[in-house]
Amino acid sequence: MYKEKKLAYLLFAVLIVVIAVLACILIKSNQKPVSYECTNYAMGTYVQQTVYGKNSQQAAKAAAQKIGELENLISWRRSDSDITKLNQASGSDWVSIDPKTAAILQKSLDVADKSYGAFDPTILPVSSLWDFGGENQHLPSKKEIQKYLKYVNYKELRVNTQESTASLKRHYMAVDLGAVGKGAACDEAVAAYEQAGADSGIIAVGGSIGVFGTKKDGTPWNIAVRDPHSSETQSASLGAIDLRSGYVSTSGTYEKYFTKNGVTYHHLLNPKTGYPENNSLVSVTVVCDNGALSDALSTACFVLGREKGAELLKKYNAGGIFITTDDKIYLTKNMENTFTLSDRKYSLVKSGV
Amino acid sequence: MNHTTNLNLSPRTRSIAFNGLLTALALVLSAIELTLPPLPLLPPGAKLGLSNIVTMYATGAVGLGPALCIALIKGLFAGVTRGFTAMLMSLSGGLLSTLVMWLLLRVNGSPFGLIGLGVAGALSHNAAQLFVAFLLTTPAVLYYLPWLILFGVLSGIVTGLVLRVMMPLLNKFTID
Amino acid sequence: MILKKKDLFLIAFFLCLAAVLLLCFNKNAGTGIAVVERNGTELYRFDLGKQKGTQVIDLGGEYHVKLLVEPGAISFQHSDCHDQICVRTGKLSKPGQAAVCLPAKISVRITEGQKTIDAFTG
Repeated sequence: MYKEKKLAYLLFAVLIVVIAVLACILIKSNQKPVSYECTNYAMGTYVQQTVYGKNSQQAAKAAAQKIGELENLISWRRSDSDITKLNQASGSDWVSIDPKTAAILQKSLDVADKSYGAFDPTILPVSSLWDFGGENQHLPSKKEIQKYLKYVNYKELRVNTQESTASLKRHYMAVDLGAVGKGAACDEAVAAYEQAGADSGIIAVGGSIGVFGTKKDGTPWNIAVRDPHSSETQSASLGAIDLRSGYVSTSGTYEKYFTKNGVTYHHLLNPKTGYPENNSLVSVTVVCDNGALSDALSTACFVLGREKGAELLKKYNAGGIFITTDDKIYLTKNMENTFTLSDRKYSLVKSGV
Repeated sequence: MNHTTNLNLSPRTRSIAFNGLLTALALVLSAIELTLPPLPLLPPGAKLGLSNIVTMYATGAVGLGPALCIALIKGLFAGVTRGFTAMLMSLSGGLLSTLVMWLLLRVNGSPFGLIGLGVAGALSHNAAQLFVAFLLTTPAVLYYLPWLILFGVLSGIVTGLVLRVMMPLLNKFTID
Repeated sequence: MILKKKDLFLIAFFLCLAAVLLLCFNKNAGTGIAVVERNGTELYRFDLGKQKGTQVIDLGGEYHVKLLVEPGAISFQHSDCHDQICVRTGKLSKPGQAAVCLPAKISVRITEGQKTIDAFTG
């Protein structure tokens, strides 16, 4: 009788251990897939988010909201945005704006300055003539371009970040932050993830990407670089970037373009000429520690070309991937270990930049 | 021996009634099992086999024939309610575990107690189901094996314990 | 009697079996790509994660090298070479692992499989 009691205790102990182990396994297996994915539309493009961690859903929702708020601040298409206020007050007075808008304007001016105007946030008078991707997309006359090119000059945009004010010196001048907006949206999202207490996350706003934290398995984020020859709906990758942290943006001729009289016009305008920049580049991808900067730099580098572009990237400690029309890929030195080419159609020129 | 069941019924009628009762119990248990949320780590369609409690008892108290009958009816019931695959899973699991427990009971000196029998029954139940899943789907389901063994041991212990509690109650109804 | 000593042995045995199987399965969860090369030129490429069933690859040559490809693993099954190092290396399943038969100049190495893409730029 005594023996049976002892055995019963033993059995009870075994049972508890087994249940405890199973409970642990269940909890662990339930914890793993705490991720939230969502896609919505903002900034004129698709916003794709994948967030990991307990608060993943709140984090993604907060990020989407922040992006919406940012768009309401910096889109020149919104009638009550900071940028619209600034554009309407051109040639008159300083307008007070949100500190966020001021900071983005300041960054844009910095890139414009360091790229000697290859990137210009005051491009709107000319870019609105072309209206790439808009309803009025057409080839403007030379005369029109000459007329409005005079109003493109970043030096006449002044920003006071301390007081959060800005002004455009002359009438008819106007700011277009389309070349930094997507990257700035990634900045907003990553900040939202951090604030919401997510473990990690990745956001893609069009071709701009921001990552937060490290992936569960400890491997770097794998960012595929689109093959410029592939269509947007069936995108194929030509290679991938191992990204531990930071932001990636790409400016490519294939994003927005139209063909008129057998000539293809893409949306990457040279602010000096008012025409699309044709320097045998197809796309430039920039890796940088700030989203808005990566976006602005990719546009600036495209217009500058690869030698001058690489020089500009050095100033920001950023990396670049330059893809040319003859399927050559030029990497800046700091990208050599993080970019891997997978499509053999392209050839890699490592120290070419 | 017990007043409550001392009805004037022939042993045959009583046996039929009792077997019917056991079958009903088995069906109820598998129905209860169905309402449990699907457990992760188990191959699709695999169940813990709580109704093994009944087949195990039937094997010991009534005999192999009725026990196999219960397993068979349970399988058909699964087939009617949940489709052909579920029927194959249930039948294979039920029949094999019944056979295994019956064999173990017949071994001289019966080396295993109720817990051991329950574990053996549950393990053979899971093994048969995994084999059927293996045949029906891909060899990849074999990766479930360690989890099935773990769950088998656990549910076997539960089966044994439950039977230990229920034995005195059920014995009141047995034909003596 | 509800519990006998043999019951405990039974339970312990199966718990151990489950633990051992779990360890084995985790170890063999090979998803890499096996690259087979002779003298530096690629002969075969197997996606071990997608391999279904076993397959013997007869590479022939002076040493009659045979490879065994299984789901998640690859190994030298046979070689006439003297040292038999390649055969004794055993199964390769993880990226980074390699086995070489020096006399036959045949190497088998496992590289990382296609990584999942987190996002697209461009």
